[in-house]
Amino acid sequence: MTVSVIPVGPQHPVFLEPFQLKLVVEDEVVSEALPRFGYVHRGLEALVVSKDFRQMTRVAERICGICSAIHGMTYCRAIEKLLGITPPPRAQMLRLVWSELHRMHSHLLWLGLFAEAMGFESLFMQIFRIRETVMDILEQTTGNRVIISVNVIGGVRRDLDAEGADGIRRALKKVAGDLERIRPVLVDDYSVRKRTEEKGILAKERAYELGAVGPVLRASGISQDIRRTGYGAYGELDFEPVVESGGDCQARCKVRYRELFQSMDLIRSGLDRLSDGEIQTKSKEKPEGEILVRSEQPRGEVVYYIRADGSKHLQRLRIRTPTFANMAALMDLLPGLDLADVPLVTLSLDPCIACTER
Amino acid sequence: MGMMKHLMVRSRRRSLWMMHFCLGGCNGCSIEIMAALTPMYDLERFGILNTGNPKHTDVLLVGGSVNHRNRRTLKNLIDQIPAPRLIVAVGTCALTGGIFNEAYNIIGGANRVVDVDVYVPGCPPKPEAVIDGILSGLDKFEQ
Amino acid sequence: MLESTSLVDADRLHSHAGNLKENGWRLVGMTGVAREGGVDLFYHFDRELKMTNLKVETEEDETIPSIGDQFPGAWIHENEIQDQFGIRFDGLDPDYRRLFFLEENVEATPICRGVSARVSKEPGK
Repeated sequence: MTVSVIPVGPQHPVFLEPFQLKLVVEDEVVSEALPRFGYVHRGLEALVVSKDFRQMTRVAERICGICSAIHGMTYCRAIEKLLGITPPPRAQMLRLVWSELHRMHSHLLWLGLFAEAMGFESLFMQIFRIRETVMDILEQTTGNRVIISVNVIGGVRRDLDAEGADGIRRALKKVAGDLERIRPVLVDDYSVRKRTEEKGILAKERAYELGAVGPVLRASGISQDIRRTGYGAYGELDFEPVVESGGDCQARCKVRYRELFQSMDLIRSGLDRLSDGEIQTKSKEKPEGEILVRSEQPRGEVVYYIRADGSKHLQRLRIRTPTFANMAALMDLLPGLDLADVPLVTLSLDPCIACTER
Repeated sequence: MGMMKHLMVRSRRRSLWMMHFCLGGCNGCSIEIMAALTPMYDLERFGILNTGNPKHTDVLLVGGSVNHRNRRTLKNLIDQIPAPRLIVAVGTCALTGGIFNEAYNIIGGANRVVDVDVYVPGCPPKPEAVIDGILSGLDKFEQ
Repeated sequence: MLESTSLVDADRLHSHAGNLKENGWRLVGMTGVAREGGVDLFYHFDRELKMTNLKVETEEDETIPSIGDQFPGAWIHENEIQDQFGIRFDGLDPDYRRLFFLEENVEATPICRGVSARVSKEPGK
C-alpha cells in the first residue's frame, strides 16, 4: 500500500474560498485529513478598538457576504438587548422577511455550487438563473444585491410599501414553480443519486457530539433550529424544522431544498402579518453589560458574545459562526472516503471560510 | 507570418480563460463573480471561460484583501499565469483593504503584492461592473 | 454577568465538563476575554435551546486542560483561543502551536481593548 499526502487547496476549482486540506491517502482512500486555515483571517473582532458600536453593524454584515443580513440582525439584536430597547413590530417582521430572502439566496447558491461540484454544469446554470429572481427582489427592496445593509440598531433602515410586498409575492411564486421543475433532477436523477447517496454519512449521535449545527445536524435526524427560540418575529409564526434522517450528502441536499419552501412560507405569512407603524426605535444610550445572542443562519447557529462598558467602543465582540462549529464534523467525515468524493462531501457541509476565520 | 500574428492577436481577446481567487474578504465579490458567469449576465458570450487552473489562465480576478498568510499564495498563483495576463481587482477590499484595512491581520489591497491592471470598485460590485472591468482591460492582449 | 454562568477552577474543569456531557449538553463554543493579568474563558453549552456557561479565570501563561477528549469538536475552539491569547491547552489534538489562523510574524493580537498590537503592516519577505 502506498501512502501519500495530497494537498487540496488553497486554490481549488470546487472551493469558492481559499483553505487547504492536507489529505493522507492510502491508494485512493483518505486515511487522515488536516485542515489549514488563515487565508481569509482578517481579525475583524478586534476592529471594536477603532470602530464604534454603530459602525460595527457594517463590519458584522461583512463577516460573510452570503449570510450578511442575518449577521447584521444578530449584532443589532445583541446591542438592542444591552440598550434595553425593542424594535417596533413592523421592523421585526421586515427583518424576518429579509433574513429569509437571504437564506433563500444562500441555499440556492449552495445548490448551484453543489451541482457544479458534481460536474453537472447545466443544473448549476439553471439554479443560478432561479437565484437571480431572489437577487432581483433583494435589489428592488433594499438597493443592493448581496450586502443589503438593512439592519440598524433599533430597527431597519428601509420600509417596504404594498407594491414591494406584492413584488416579493409574485417573485416567490415564480421561484416556487422553477424549483418544482428541478426537483426531479435533484432528488430522483440516477447520476445525482449515485454521486450523493451514502456519501459522507454523519450518524445522529456523532453529529450531536461533534457540535454540528444547522442543515448538517438536521440532515442527521436531529430537530434543532434556533429560530424555534422565537427571537424577533419568529415567535409569531408557526413552523417546524426540516429534518431528514439519512445523514449523507443527499439528505443535506434535501434539507436545504425543503428549507427553501419553508422560507417562502415564512416570508408569505410574514408579509400577511405586516403591521403598520414605525420602523426604528431610536436610542441615544451606550451599551453596557455582557450578553450572548443566537440566531439561525443558512448554515446554522451563530453565537454573538458582546461585552461593553458603557463607552462608545465595545470591549469585546466574539462571533462563533456556524461553519466554525461544522469544521469538526467535516474532519470527522473525511477519513474513509474515496479521494474523488472529498470535494463533494466537503461542499455538502456548505463551508463558508470567510465566516470560519472572520 | 505578419498575417498569422495579426490573426492571433485579434482572436486572443475573444477567447480568454479566467480564474477567480478570493482572498481575505467577505466572499460577496466571489459570489457576484459567479453570478456574472451564469445565464443572466453570461460572461461567456464574450468568449471568456471559467477555469480552475492558473496555467490555463489569461484573466485573474482577485477579490478581497491580502493578509499575512494568503500573500504568498497569491504571489505563487500569479507566477504560474503565463504572460500576457490581465489582473483585475474586484471590490473595495481588493482595492484598498476596505473596511478591514485597520484589522491586525490585513496588509492591504491586492496591489501590495501584484501589479493590478483594472480596479473595479464596489462592495460588492454588481456583475455588470465585473464584466465591464474585464472588458475594459482587454486592450492589453492586443499589444 | 452572563445568565446561568458558573465559575469553575481550571483543575475542576474536566469533571464539570464531564457532568454536562453526561447530561446531554452540546459544546456550542468558547470565548476568551482579556482582562488585567489574564483571560476570562467562557465555555458555552446548549441543550434543547437552553444555554449554560462555564467560566474559568486564567492567570497569564497558565496551562488549561483541554476538553477535547470529552467534546471532540473542541479542538477548533481551543486552537483559536491559543492563537488569540497565547493560552496553552494541555492535551490539545491537533495542536497548531499558535499558527492556526496567524503567521509567525503576527506576534500579538489586539483582540481586546487595552492589549496593544505589535503587528507589522509590511508585506515582509
